[in-house]
Amino acid sequence: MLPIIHSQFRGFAFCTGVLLLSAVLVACAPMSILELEISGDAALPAATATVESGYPGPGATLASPLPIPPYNSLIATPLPDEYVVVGAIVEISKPKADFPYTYVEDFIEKSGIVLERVFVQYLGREIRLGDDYGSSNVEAITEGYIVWTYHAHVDETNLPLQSGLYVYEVKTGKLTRVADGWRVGLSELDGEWILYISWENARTGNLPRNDTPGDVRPLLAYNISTGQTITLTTNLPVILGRGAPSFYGVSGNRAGWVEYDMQTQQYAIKVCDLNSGNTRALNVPNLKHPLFFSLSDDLAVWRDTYWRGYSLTQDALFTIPYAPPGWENKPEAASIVVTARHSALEWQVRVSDSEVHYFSGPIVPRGQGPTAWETLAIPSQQTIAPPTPAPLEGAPPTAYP
Amino acid sequence: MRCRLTYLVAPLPVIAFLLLLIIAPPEKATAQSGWPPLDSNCSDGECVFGVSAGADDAGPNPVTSCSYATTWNEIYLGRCTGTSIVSGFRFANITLPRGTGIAQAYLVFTVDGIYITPITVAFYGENATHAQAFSSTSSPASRPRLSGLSTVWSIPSSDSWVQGQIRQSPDITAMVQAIVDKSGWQSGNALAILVEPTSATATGAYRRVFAFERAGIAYSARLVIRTGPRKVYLPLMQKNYQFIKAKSGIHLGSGVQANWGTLMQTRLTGGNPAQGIYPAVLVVLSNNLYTYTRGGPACTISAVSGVTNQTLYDYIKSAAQHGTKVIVRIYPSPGNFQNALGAPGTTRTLLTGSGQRPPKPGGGTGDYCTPGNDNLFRSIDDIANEMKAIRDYNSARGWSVYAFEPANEPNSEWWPIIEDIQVKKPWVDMDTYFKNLYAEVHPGGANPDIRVLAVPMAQSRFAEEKNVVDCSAYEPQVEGRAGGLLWMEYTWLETVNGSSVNYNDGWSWHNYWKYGEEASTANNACDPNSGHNFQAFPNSLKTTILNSPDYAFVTEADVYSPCIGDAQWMSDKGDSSGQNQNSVNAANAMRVFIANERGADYVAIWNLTIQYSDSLTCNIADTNDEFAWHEAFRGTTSATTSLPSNERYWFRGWWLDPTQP
Repeated sequence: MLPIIHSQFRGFAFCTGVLLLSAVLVACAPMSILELEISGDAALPAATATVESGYPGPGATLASPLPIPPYNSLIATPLPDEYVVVGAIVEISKPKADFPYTYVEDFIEKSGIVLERVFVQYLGREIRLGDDYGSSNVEAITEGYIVWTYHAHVDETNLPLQSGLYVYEVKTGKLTRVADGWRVGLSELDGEWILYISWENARTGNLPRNDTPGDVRPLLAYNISTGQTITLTTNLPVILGRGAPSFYGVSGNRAGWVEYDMQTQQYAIKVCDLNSGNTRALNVPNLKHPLFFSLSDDLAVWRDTYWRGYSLTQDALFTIPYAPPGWENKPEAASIVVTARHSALEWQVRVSDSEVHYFSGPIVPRGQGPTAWETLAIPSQQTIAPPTPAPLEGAPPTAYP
Repeated sequence: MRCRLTYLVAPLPVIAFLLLLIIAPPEKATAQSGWPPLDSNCSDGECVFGVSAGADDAGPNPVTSCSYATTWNEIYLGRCTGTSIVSGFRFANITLPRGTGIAQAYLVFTVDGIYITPITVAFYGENATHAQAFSSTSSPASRPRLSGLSTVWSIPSSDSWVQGQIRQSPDITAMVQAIVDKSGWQSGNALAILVEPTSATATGAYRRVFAFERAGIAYSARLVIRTGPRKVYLPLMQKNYQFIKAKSGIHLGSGVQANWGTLMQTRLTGGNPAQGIYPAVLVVLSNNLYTYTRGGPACTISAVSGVTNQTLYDYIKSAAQHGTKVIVRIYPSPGNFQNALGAPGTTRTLLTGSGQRPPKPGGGTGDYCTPGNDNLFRSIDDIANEMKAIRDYNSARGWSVYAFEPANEPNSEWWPIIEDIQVKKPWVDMDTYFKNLYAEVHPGGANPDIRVLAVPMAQSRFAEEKNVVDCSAYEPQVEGRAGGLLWMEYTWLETVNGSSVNYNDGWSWHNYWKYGEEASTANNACDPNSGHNFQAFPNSLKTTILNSPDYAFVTEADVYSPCIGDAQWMSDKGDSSGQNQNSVNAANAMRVFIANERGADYVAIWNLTIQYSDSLTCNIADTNDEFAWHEAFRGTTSATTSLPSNERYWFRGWWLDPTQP
């Protein structure tokens, strides 16, 4: 059995930043990268319906092979006119932050209620965020701030804390409520800005299973210094299986997000200068299902069938390799996540519960140094084979004699 | 030279690898092909016994001049040079009352290898009412045999045995039946099966299987017994005869108590393979089958008062007695939230303690005396009471269900807004609730006959490690872990701080897939072109499930409907009024998917029948249309066919296919 990580620390939430201008995406050349490793003999028997009954009798099958829906491969190669490219990709150690404080989260059962607690250690002192009347949960941290939620488990009318989203300034101990209620949060934090969403009045119901947004939410930005709250959009998409924060990011004084118009069924990617309030849509044509948006300084990244990047300073859209060198044809490639971090690209390759590899690659002008594409083993274009049923009996290891 | 160099450079990894090969339990792939978990309880229709002591298997060893002993690591089958190998396997504490009908019996071996030598051996039952352990003075060759009863097993050279694989013997029902029928037999006695070569086995031709001494009871020979009607009643139906499915089953749906009909029962009853077959697994909602007596101050369940449909109940009982594994899903099971009754000041906090119920708006604590309150909240004691009441009711009628599902998709039904489950707290809440429920059912280890499965989760709602739609990671993760199940350490992972715990008796999950994604990967890696949800589980969990002696069930499965937006290539599954290509496609999709499921031992298609809607098309705002799309039996009888009922073609084409496990 593989070990399960029982870290009491939540993953550090880094902010991302975006910069971009407009660019024109032509067409990349998609190629399939994964081929089902399936074979076997549960092959469909010949198709013959039993005439007398009109039923498809035992053994009846398709008149034609099972059609295989085309999988939107993650592979794309750069277009000739992309003048910003991904530089050489190198493996890095797991990014970690060295903050002047630490925090611990734990769970206890108290009076038949699971209580989640947060303790911050700073300068030899331990401070609890929250109390025994409710559960606390850390959502995002930076060197100076901790953004956390508090959900009261009892009547909160006369409690010192009410349910909501809070920011704690570690150095001063100042606690500020950002928003009220249970259903606010899923925050991103950078500098003085907190991005969060509200789903207090969200309707319930099935969401489509095909990456089509089934609803939208408001995305808000809160300035810690001024206490100002800005509604960035009311059209943040809600998609089954896609985490809300994968549609927005904040970096410095810039926020970026994916937006969906339920009426026109059109996507847009937008960035906002939070100081001026100026918002603009990026000139990215043919957005289909943009997912996994991140922002860091002048770089925005998302996946829309293929991984895309956008250099705000260069005003250039560019293509991102779906996998770092050596991982192009491995099963893990399908779940690799690329994010913008510190104005560079970061690939996370998850092999197992306990093994994750990290890679980083810069963005460079074309023709100025090696590019990632020169070292990648991109398979030639191929057609995905229809899956043939696999044998049930696998071949166990042999060690005899 | 290269091999030697490799060895010198990296001896430890090589040794570790070899050790892993030696000690690793059989892969689930082999388990799927027949490695049955030990189960001494025969009352649910199937039991499995293992050779449990060194002296319970014995025989000569051709490697040591065919010398006989009870202590060899392997049991040989075949012939020494010039001498027959007579081996024996004894199974102790067979919990079958005298005269129990045996529907099926066979042995299962963990084989050694590589062996390709053809051999033919015969099995005999020891003519004893309580077989004794083997010893130096009482070898298998010396044991008396039942006369006239033997089963021959011819193993051709094409059947290559490789270490760790599983092989199943031919049927030995007759000899087991004869032993159990003997006048001196009583439950708890031991029986022994003897093996010796036939004349077709060449001198010096042998193979071997794992003895108890090799790796304990985990790998020693097993005896699988299915109780039921004696085979003497079915002699002419053995050829190509499928009496009960090995892996396939069906969820009966929520309309079954009202709509249970003759044709449904025929289809799900073994006896005439052209008409019907017993399912390997049946899933039924508890309130579709049972009614309850409630009592005490809070009106908690105290007993089953009756059944909703006696014909349906009798059928399910009969199916269980014929080997069908009956899974009862507790329903309703809405969680136990503090604000369920809308009392002022309450919040949506899950109450996880025994006897805890939400407060009432006017004061006091909620109870079940008000009809319908069980649709609003269920405390763990009330659910535990329901399981015990069902167990008691069935037990008094001579059967038992196989297991209970404690709720349905709580990551969707309890937290219907998707943002609510993108943090870890709800997952820990659920884990605690179901952990405490398991402890409530089994205080101090009591009620071991009540199996509680890990609760099934809704797909693509942050439970698995990856989104099975495209195998992408959940981004962001569920607070530092790849999926919510990784926060359910007690009831799903059964591993807490690196130590094993036991808070389930098997797993259940649901699996809806896109048409065309029926295949699975050989190594269970997630693949965007495969729709098997197991592949999206965390690797550690896959390993746990594959290596567990507990069964895993897919308790709902079907092709996605277009009602929820993803049914490319299959606009509908065909009407009842005539066979069409959609019907055939749907039937094949079921077949191929189930045949290729590698994580679950059993798969139940959703569903037999519901009601409310018979629409062929989908109105996404009407969930009844979604239900109707999946039904095997529509609510109204087709007017355009002479068929006796409203059965859909896809169901019959799939279900009556004898090649479907």
